[in-house]
Amino acid sequence: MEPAAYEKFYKAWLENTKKFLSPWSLIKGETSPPFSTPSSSATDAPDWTKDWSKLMEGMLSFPYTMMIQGIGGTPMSSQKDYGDLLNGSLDLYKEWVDVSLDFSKTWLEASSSVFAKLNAMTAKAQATSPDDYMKQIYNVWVEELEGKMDHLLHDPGFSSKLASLLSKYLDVKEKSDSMAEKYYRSMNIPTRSEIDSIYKEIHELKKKLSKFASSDSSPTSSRKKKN
Amino acid sequence: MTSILATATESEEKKLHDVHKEMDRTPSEVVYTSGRIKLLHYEQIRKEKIVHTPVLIVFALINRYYILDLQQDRSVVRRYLESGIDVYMIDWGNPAPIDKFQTIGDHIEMIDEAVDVILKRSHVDGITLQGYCMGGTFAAIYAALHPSKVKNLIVQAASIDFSTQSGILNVWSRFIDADKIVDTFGNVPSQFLNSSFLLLNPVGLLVDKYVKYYDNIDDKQYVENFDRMEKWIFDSPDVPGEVYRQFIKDLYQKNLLVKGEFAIDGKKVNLKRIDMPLLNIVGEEDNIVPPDSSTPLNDLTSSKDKETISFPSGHIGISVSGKAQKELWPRVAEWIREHSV
Repeated sequence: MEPAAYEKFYKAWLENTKKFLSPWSLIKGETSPPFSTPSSSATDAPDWTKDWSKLMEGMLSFPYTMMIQGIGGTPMSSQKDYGDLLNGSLDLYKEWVDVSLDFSKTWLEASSSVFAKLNAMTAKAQATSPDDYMKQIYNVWVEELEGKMDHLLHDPGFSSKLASLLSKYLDVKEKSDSMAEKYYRSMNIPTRSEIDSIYKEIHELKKKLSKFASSDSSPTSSRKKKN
Repeated sequence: MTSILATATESEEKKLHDVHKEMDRTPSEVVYTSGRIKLLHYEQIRKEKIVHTPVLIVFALINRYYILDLQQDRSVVRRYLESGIDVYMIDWGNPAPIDKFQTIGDHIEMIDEAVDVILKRSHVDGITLQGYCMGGTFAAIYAALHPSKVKNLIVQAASIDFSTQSGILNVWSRFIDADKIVDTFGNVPSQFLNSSFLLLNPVGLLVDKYVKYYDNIDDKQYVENFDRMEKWIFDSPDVPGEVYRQFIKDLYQKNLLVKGEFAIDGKKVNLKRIDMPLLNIVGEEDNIVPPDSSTPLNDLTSSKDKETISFPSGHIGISVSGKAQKELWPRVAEWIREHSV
């Protein structure tokens, strides 16, 4: 960097950053902090408490340090991301409750049918051994619940709810993945979208290569070579 | 990059190998590999190979091929070998993240590569191509694109006409946003697919099945059979993202195949180009691929020699049930022998 540019932009920025961080981090500032901190104010406390306070201050300052350095996005965008993720999770939960209610309703309907059938069973059928009787109850329960569940799962209205639940889950996953991408990018770690673009290119190159190989081995191609 | 990708699949391969060792499987050798796919050739049981035309079996990308060779007394492969039929099978392997861009067209190409290998090894002009489930859809598409290489076509519980609403999957697929699923997941995870299949009959598959298992816990054969099926059910690979996207959007939602508008690399698939002998095997109680999704194939082709076998079983039972092993597969083997002269 040219000295003039350094003086004008970088040095000023660095100085201001240090000044801002000096109360909160282990960086020794040139000026005294504008306000006291636990580690700076507890002059009579044992040394180990001061060290501990300094460590905690440093850890707490880390997200802000990252934001100031431009890592992880601005505080506003991070807040928005977390807000969107939270809203998405709530939407997902609402869909989940909706689907669960339909399952519960089906269970209750099946249970009512089972009780009705058991009541209708003859005294002779009921007067079998306890094991056989339990088996009969179980078989009736399975038959009723299977029928009711089959009806529910075939219902287009319920299918639409299932699809909506899946969609909300995918929204949350997509939001979470995009937030992770931002952090990976800031840490210079290859992201999924970057790797996917490489995969796509490799796939397309393989296809082209395969086409060249098959055209190269075709009879027309070999005749051309002989000529 | 390749070694990183290989590491992820090598541990999966080792786990699969351990699973296979415990199963009562027919010996085979790998005669060709291309990327993740392997072409298996089963060892002959009879001293002489009687049937000249080899069979290539193509299974679905969901779950694994060895449902057709689960154990000695529940093995379609073994029934064929006992009839002197030369059997090959495609193992689709485990899709890595890089495979998410592979389309149905890429898989048809892989089938073509396998067919060329078999034609060369066996010194024949055509094979008997058998497809099961999604593999049946692939087999029909391949036979329409390369009819000269297919001497006979067998489709088993194959989805051809997706307009039916009698299957739950057909109902659900109307509402699925395949683009969102693939764009978020990449390859569609096997856990997601497994959960969907369990939801087809939650009471039967999550409760009743295990109650029956407990009831038969003292029956060694029952327990062994159950354990092999359980291993197969939950031994499922991810599905390449673009295949899933195409299958849901172009086939389930738009039903382009029967309309003659489904295209592979820009070339439309015309089922009328299927003119070879056709055997359509359908499970009457199939709740995954309902019969009215499979049976229309016969009317969509121009085959003169065509037959439908409607068997009283479900989607998996058509391969592994005792009744199918005794009644259905010897009959199919006989059909292959008659059409391989």
